[in-house]
Amino acid sequence: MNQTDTTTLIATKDLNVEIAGKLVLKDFNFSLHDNETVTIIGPNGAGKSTLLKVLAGLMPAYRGNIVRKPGLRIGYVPQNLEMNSSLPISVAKFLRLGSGRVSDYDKALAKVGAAQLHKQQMHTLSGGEFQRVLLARAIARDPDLLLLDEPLQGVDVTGQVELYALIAGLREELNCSVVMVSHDLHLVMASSDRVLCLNHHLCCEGQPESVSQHPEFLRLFGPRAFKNIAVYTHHHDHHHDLHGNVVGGHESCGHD
Amino acid sequence: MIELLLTPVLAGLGLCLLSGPLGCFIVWRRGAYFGETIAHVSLMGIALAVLTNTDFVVVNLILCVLAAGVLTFLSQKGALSQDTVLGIIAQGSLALGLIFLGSASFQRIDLLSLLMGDILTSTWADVLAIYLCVALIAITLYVFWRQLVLLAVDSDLARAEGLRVSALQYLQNFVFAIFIAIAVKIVGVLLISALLVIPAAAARPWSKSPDQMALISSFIAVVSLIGGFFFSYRFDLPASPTVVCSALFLFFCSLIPHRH
Repeated sequence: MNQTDTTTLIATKDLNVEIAGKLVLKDFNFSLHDNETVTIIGPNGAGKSTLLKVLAGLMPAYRGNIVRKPGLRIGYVPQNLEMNSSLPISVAKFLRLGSGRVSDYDKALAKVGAAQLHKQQMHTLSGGEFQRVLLARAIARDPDLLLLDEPLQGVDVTGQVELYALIAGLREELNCSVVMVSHDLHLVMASSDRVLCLNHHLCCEGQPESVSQHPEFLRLFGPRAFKNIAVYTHHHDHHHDLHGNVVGGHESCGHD
Repeated sequence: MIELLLTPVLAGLGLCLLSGPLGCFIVWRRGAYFGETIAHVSLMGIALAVLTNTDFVVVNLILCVLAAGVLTFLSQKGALSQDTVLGIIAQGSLALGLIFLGSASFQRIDLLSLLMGDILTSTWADVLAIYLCVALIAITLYVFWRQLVLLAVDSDLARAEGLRVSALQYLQNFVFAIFIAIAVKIVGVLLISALLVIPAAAARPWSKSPDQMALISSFIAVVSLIGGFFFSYRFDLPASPTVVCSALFLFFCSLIPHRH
C-alpha cells in the first residue's frame, strides 16, 4: 500500500463501486490535501454523488482502498434532501437532532449567517436558507473535510454567488478542505484549486483553466460550455445578509 | 355495565397512547402500506393459531416480527421496490390466511370480527398483553427517539451522523410489528392502519415539533376512542369502526384553517 504523507486527508486507490450490478465508479485514484478545494463536475449519473458518499464512509460496499487520516472529521451535506412537510420541525430542533453540543450548533448557524432562522420551520425555508442550515449542521463539529453534494441546488443566481463566497470563507475560517459536486460551470472554476471531471472514471483533472481546455472535458461538455462565460473571480469588500442588505465587519474583508 | 366496559376501555387506551407516536413515524416515512402489510400477516397469524389450536398472541407475535424482518431485509437489499415487496407479502399472507381459515371451518370463526376487531370482548389477558407491549415500546421509543426522528428526516444524514441506520430500521419495524400483532385482535385487520395514520395526520396542522405531534396524536387517538365508545353505546354501532370514524371527524376538523 502507498505511504501517504502527513498532509493527505483522504486517498483512494483503485476504487470501484458497483450499484445494482452496474459499475458506477471505475478504478478511481485520488488524494486530497490540507486546505484544498476540489470540485467534481460531470454529466448526470456520472457517479459524483456516489463518490462523495463513499468518501464520507456512507457506502460500505466498494472495492479498492480508501485511506483516511486518523481522526479525520467529515462534515457532509447530502444531495436532494427533501424535507417531508408532514414532519414539523424548526431549524433549531433539526440541528439538535445531531449528536453535537447545542452551543456548537448555535455558533455554526451564526457562522453561516442564518442565526435569525432559528425558530423557522424547516419546510418553509427558501433554497438558499435551507442549504445554509445544512452547511451549519455540517460545520458544527469542526470538520477537517467538508463534502458538499451540489450545495447550490435550488438557490437563485445571486444566492449562488453569496453561497460560494460563504463556502470559500468557511474554508479559510475552519482551516479545512472542501470537496464539492457541482453542475455549475460558471462558479466552479474560480474558487477551486482543482477540478475533477468524472464520468464513471476520472476523465481529467487539474487546475480549473487547464481542465477547461482538456479534450475530454470539451467532449463531455462541448466547446461552447466556456465560450460565453468568464471565469468568475470575485472579491468582496462587504457582505450581504440573507435579505441582501450590505453588512460590514467580517474577518475576511481584509481590513484591520 | 361498568365492569363490562372496563377492559375494552383500558385496552383501547393503551393502544391509543402508542398509536400516537407510532402513527407519526408512519406518516413521516410515508409508510402507511407497511402497517397494512403487517396487518394482513396477522390475519394469517390468527388463522394459523385457530387451526393449530395454539395461543393467538404468541403465534401472531412471531409471525409479524418475522414478516417485519423479511420486509426490512428485502427493502434494504433494494433489488425490488418497496411497494412490490410489501404487495407480495401482504397478498401472499392474506391468501395463506384464507386457506388456513378454510381448513379450520370446523371451528367457529367470526370472519367479520377478524376484519373489524372486537374491542368489547377484550379480556384481562388482552389488557395485560397490551400494557406489557406499551411499556416495552414506550421505553424503546423514549431511548431511541432522537435517532428515529433523524432517520425519518433523511437516512443519509443519519448515516453521516454515525447512526447505525440498518439496525435502527430493523428496530423500528419490529416495534411496528409487535404493536400491530397485539392490536389487531382488538381493532381488526381492516382498521389498524386507520388507528395509526388518522390521528397522526390530524395532529400535523396543530404541531410545530416532532415531539408535539406525537403527543397531540396520542391525545386525538384517546379522544376518538372515548367518542367512539360513547356513540357506539348510544346508537348501538360496532365499536371499532365508530372509533375510527371519530378520528376521521377530528381529522376533518384539523383541516379547518386556524392560527398558531
